[in-house]
Amino acid sequence: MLIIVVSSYGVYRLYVSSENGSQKETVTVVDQTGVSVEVEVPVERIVNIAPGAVEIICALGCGDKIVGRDTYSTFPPSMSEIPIVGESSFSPNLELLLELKPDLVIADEGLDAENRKKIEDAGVPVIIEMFMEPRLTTCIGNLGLILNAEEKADEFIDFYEYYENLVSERIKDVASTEKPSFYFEWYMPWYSTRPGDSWDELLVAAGGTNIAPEGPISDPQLSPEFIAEQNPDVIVRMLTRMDGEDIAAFQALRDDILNRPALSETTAVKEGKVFVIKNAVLVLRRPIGLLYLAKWFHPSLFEDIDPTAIHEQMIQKFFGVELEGVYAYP
Amino acid sequence: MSTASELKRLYLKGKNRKILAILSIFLVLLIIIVISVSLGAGSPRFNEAIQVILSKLFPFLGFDPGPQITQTIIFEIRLPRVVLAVIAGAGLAASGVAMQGVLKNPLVSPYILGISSGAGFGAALAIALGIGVVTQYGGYIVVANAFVFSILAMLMVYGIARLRGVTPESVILAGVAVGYLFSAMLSLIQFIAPEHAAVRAVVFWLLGGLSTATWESILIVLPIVLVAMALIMRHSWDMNVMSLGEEVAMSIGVNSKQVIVMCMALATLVTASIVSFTGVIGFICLVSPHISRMMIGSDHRFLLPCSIVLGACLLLCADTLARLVLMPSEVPVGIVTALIGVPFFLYLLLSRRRQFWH
Repeated sequence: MLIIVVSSYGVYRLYVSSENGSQKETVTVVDQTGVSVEVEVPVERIVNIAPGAVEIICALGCGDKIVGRDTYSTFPPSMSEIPIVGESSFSPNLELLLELKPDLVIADEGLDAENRKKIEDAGVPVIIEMFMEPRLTTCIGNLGLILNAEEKADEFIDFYEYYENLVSERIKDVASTEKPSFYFEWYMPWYSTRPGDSWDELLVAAGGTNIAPEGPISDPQLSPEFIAEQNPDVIVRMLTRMDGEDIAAFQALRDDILNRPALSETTAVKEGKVFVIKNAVLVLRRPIGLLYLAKWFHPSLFEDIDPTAIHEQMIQKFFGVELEGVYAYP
Repeated sequence: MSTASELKRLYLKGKNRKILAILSIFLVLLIIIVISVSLGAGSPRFNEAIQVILSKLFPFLGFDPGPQITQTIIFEIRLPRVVLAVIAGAGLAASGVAMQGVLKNPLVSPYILGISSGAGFGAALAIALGIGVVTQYGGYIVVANAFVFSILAMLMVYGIARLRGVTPESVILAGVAVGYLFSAMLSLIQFIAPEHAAVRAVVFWLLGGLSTATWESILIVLPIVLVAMALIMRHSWDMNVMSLGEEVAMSIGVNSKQVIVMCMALATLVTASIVSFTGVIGFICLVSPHISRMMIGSDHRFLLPCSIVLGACLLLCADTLARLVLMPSEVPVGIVTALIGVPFFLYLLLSRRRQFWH
């Protein structure tokens, strides 16, 4: 008997087949590289070296099925007990990885073709995904199918979509002239993001307008005098692990921007609209980042929204732990 | 006419020609400064720039500085950057002359001797792992680390060289070894860095850039560079004598070892203080002395000032292009320096028949 399931997530097709007479059931999903990956279900042992996937797997209630991980997969805290099989997908230790006898390996783009082939030749299916927009809901759906947690997956997607819709609903009537211009800076002074890239899409979805121009470089180093003249209304600086994680690290980054002579005349600095946000909520917990940004851009429209409280609920609901640490400042 | 007075006439003629060459390059530098201050991603051009600068320099003359944004762009962003490019180019070229001079080797630069690797390692330590020799001064953590580790690299070179007696060969070989050591440790940091972003940040730092130039950084770098350049200048005659061989130098009363140590220390200090702020801008120290030698010969009394103004020109040109080619984005200056320096260097090398290095 062959059952064809047409996916509710749109962009791909998938087939669940169960062969007559045998117990074997497989799920086939198409990953980011366009490869159809056939996975025998139920999956019991996962090696995950895609840092974007770990939170999703755990949110689907299958964190206990992860038997190996990369060094970036550190949340939820229970991950610290899982053995590491490589720094990232770029450099997995195949001996360690295969010794764990996984049913499935989840990796990101860093995994090269040779390593993928070696793992597959050992009889282990490999899924390659970045777990980023625009494929995020697709990825969550796929994992839901593979892990037999479709309900939880839908719940998780609903959570994402609820807040994404909430933000887009509230800012849809804002005239483009009312949208504050922003300068987004990631890991180094003057390095920004061009329109259309992943960071930019999130900030634009939150109701801002990027001052950075279109161009050939994805993370251009902007001229300070250009930024000064563009006079951004809001400056958002991203914090990564290398900057530190405590409140002092957030303050230091904010002070650095406030004290740069080149920015002293911008509206953002004059009005103190300089914000620091942790990269974790810009990638994995995108809706949370979106809410922070939307509230910074349009405080009056989001008066009733408390991003930190929603973040706490999210962590409670999907991971069953308390939220710790700072994610946005001030 | 006696041979002696004929020789003296020839010498004076050559001397005047050299001074003229240096003055011409200085004039070119002034022109490039004016052009550079007049161009950028912001809208202010020549007129606005001159007005702002004159009003700041001579407030009593009553020039209208224009709107605040113009003042910020010219006086807080563009001018500090131009000034830092001039100082850094000059200082790097001077240290190049000093090191090539005392070590009598045309391939030597503070970069081959491990100073840049030391600086890179120190910076990476701060950027990627957050480990700093100072922790109090925010933005200066990277600067202080780069400075301390480049000095440390040079102390290691000196310590190793001393074991075999301070000779050009021992210093160069020790420098190469220390350079490799710090490069390896730099790669190790990049390999174990906790974030891909950190690795990128280190790479960008290594490519060099002047976009963080402020008056504050100039106030720190300028005195060091000026004093060190003056002290190196005082040794220019010693370097001339040393080029004739150690025995000759000794017979005239020049202590080669002392001169090597002194000039190396000064060149290190200059390079370290500049590179800590700008990142690794390698090419200037190697190429400015060579170009100058092709233009005016190897008498260090002229070679040094010539190289200094030429280095300033080269780095300022490179940085101005770095600001302009992809406006409003910028290109790391280290890339541009090599891209414009190499063709210029090759042109001079191929178009002259003289032997420049003896």
